[in-house]
Amino acid sequence: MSTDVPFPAPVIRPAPRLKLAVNDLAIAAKEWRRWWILAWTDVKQRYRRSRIGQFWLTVSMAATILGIGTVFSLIMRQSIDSYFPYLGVGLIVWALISTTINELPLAFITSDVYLKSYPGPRAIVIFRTILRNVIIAGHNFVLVPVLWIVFGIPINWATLLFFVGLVIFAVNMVWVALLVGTLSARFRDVPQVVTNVVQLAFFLTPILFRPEQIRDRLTVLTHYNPFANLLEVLRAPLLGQVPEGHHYVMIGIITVVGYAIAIPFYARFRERVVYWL
Amino acid sequence: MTGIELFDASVDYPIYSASARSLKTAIAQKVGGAIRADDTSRVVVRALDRVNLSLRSGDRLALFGSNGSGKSTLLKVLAGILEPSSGRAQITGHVSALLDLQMGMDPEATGYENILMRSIFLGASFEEARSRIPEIEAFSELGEYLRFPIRTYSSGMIVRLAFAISTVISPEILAMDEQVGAADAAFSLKAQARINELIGQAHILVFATHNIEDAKKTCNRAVVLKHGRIDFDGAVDAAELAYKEARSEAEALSGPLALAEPASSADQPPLKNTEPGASSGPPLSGPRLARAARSTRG
Ligand SMILES: Nc1ncnc2c1ncn2[C@@H]1O[C@H](COP(=O)(O)OP(=O)(O)O)[C@@H](O)[C@H]1O
Ligand SMILES: [Mg+2]
Repeated sequence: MSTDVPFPAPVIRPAPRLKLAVNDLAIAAKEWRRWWILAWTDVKQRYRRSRIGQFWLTVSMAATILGIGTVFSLIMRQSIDSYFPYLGVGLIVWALISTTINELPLAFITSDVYLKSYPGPRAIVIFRTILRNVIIAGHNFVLVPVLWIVFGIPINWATLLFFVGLVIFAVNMVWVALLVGTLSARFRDVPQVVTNVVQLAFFLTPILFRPEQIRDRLTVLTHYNPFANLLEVLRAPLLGQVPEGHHYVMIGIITVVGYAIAIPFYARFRERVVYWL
Repeated sequence: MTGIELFDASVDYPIYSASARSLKTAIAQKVGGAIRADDTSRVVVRALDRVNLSLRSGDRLALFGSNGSGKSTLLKVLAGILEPSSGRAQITGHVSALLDLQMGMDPEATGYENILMRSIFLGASFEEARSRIPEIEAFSELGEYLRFPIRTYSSGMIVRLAFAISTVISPEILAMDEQVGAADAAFSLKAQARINELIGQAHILVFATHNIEDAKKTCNRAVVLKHGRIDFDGAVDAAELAYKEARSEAEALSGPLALAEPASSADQPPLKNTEPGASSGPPLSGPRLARAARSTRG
């Protein structure tokens, strides 16, 4: 190799952190193979540990729907025919949202080995966590067609909006992870805080109750609650309904605001994450 | 164009106490106002101290330094695994780092799954990863074991597998830590042959070693690290003396443990380019270096 070729003099500027953070996300998305294989291995390992255990996920969800459905349809004087599918789909979608958000703070922490061993974008472990949760949620979603058949829910074009909802969900989980994942790497009590917030959100979000039941009171819970908006763009299509427009508007605003906060935050601390692990 | 440029690159490993790991404590301190000194003084280990290094095609760099002098840390920075906590690192080219080979292997996954995973992480596509399996099978000689989770392997077997996967393609930049290839004798011979092959094909080699004879054989440049600083940068022969000096001094002094104080400007790392032919890259000018420096962040 010749050493007489002049090496192009590097231009040194203060590191453009914002650009590095955006690049991190963009390259991570392009390197889909990495997070795909990690997520897939996660799922395979759960099966390896206990094949039956995954089946129990489904059974336990079915039991929860049956139990809560029976009691609450009585308490809230709702007809079983309309309450059961509403509750069932709501709980199944909520399980996806809540387990994902609960695992996002651990995205960097539990992937420390990969982050400390390989160069490349850090965000792959965020995509890994989201994808893994979507795949695992499939175990609960097999119950949705059962609800469709038993309660005669119409399957129509609106049903396809579920996939739009799923994209909206994934896109929003990324900014949540950028915030709570980064923060948790530094402060190890953040995951508990997140768990508590999610727990509380379960009761404040129209899952057990219907938005109509609190009409004109507490509309903040149904209109402005981010969890409610996220839930609705996933739930309504599975009930054969088109989500109301304002849900999409709200979720759009939440997405923009979320990224507006999360990207600069991640840009500020991105390269510290590996040091904190 | 393959190349590596470090500008005033420092690495500070933060050491946190349990209470410093709590958001609750952090907030309580902000709100309460009463800040106890022992909770807020952040202890850091400065593993690299404003390192300036310029490497380009043809450079074969031996990295000397006593234990704890920062060799492994420098290799991690060169491999792009660790971003300097201050300063800047520019790495152009496909890097392969043979550092701690057992790292990045999934103990629960089988040998085959690990082949796939590690290959993907080293930049292969699924098809490429699969097509490499026969070669890795043959090289690692693990046979049926590849079907089992690697937690059932001995550490020597894991190293074999990791080595076989990591060396199946030759990188432009090869970064190697000292203990790589330390497996059983028979494998070690094969591993050495493979490494020599990679070294021959790599544009840039950086290799941490204690063995001066090895370095003389393969390298055309040497750096001696001392307490995270470049103490010497030049020809391998001349490095021998500097390294022995550093080693004996290191025995007298303990590691570079320091509180997070800005180091005084008097501590400018000595950048010695004694051999004009051996070292490469344009001399770094003062103002450029100053602009490259970034403040240390918390
Ligand atoms: N993850 C870490 N956390 C804290 N300190 C570390 C870590 N890794 C290395 N160090 C410290 O950084 C210094 C340099 O270490 P290292 O790069 O491993 O040196 P070498 O490879 O030359 O033996 C040592 O003082 C070591 O204790
Ligand atoms: Mg070392």
